[in-house]
Amino acid sequence: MLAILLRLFIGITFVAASIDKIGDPGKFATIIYGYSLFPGWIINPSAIVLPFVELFAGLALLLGVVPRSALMIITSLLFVFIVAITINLLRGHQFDCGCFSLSETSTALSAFWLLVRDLALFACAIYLLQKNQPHRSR
Amino acid sequence: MAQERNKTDRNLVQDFKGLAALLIVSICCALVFNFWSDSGIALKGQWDRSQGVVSSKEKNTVVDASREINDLDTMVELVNAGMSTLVDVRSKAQFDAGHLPGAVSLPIEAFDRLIGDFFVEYVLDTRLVIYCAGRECLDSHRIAHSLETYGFSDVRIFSGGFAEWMEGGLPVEIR
Repeated sequence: MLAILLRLFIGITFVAASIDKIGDPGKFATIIYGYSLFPGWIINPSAIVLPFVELFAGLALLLGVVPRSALMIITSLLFVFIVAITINLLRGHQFDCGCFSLSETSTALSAFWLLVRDLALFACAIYLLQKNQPHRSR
Repeated sequence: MAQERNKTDRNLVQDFKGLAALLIVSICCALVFNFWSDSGIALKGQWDRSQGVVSSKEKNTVVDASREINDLDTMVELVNAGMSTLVDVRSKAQFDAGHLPGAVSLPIEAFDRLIGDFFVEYVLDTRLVIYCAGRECLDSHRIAHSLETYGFSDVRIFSGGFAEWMEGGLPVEIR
């Protein structure tokens, strides 16, 4: 029962998170740029492709289609997010373009809560991966 | 034991096949959607600050690099010549805290409300130099695009914005 609830929770979270990004890849690209961790050539392809990876991994988890593959993708994505947010929190880096159109850019506090949320999701995903090990599911 | 290992290997292969399938479907859908969507972006953005204002190069972008003044010295000459009207599109609070000498405030969030007065004040061939916070801010391009749509014919952008003016140790006015 817990595993089903966690699967639904992670699946819905990933699908919901992907919708805004798919609708506005330009804004998502600016957010990736704001981390100051990635080379310029990788920013736009990531902003185009990552939201769809989130969407399909979330849907696959929700529908129970290749759930272990979906969980492998989700844990990898969460790991990258956690590393990126942690690096920026540790070095005190905050992106603020000073512009009206991106006025909700993250503060240190929201970055901290984002990290807490991603760590919780990561723990849930690891638990589900363990739970879904082939020899246990038979 | 060997049978158990074979089974595990087979499951692992299935997992990686599923993973590859999800990634391939995601990449294909992403590229097709990005190509057709009005909000699509270029495969390569402009993320080099030395080249001007950074942007993802959206399909319907308002960014026009040919409008940009990328050099602080050129901007100082323009300001000293006094032939241009400097337009600060940051918020009123930011403007009041400090702005380029002689600049007028036209905050992007109040553009629709203030554009009428702006029309009365300035003729359409006025040389306008727009600026916002810095090279990561697209607001100056948005306003420049709107002003051109309204008929202003000589609109330029100081891409370094207020941040670069301050970094240059140049004088500012405080209201």
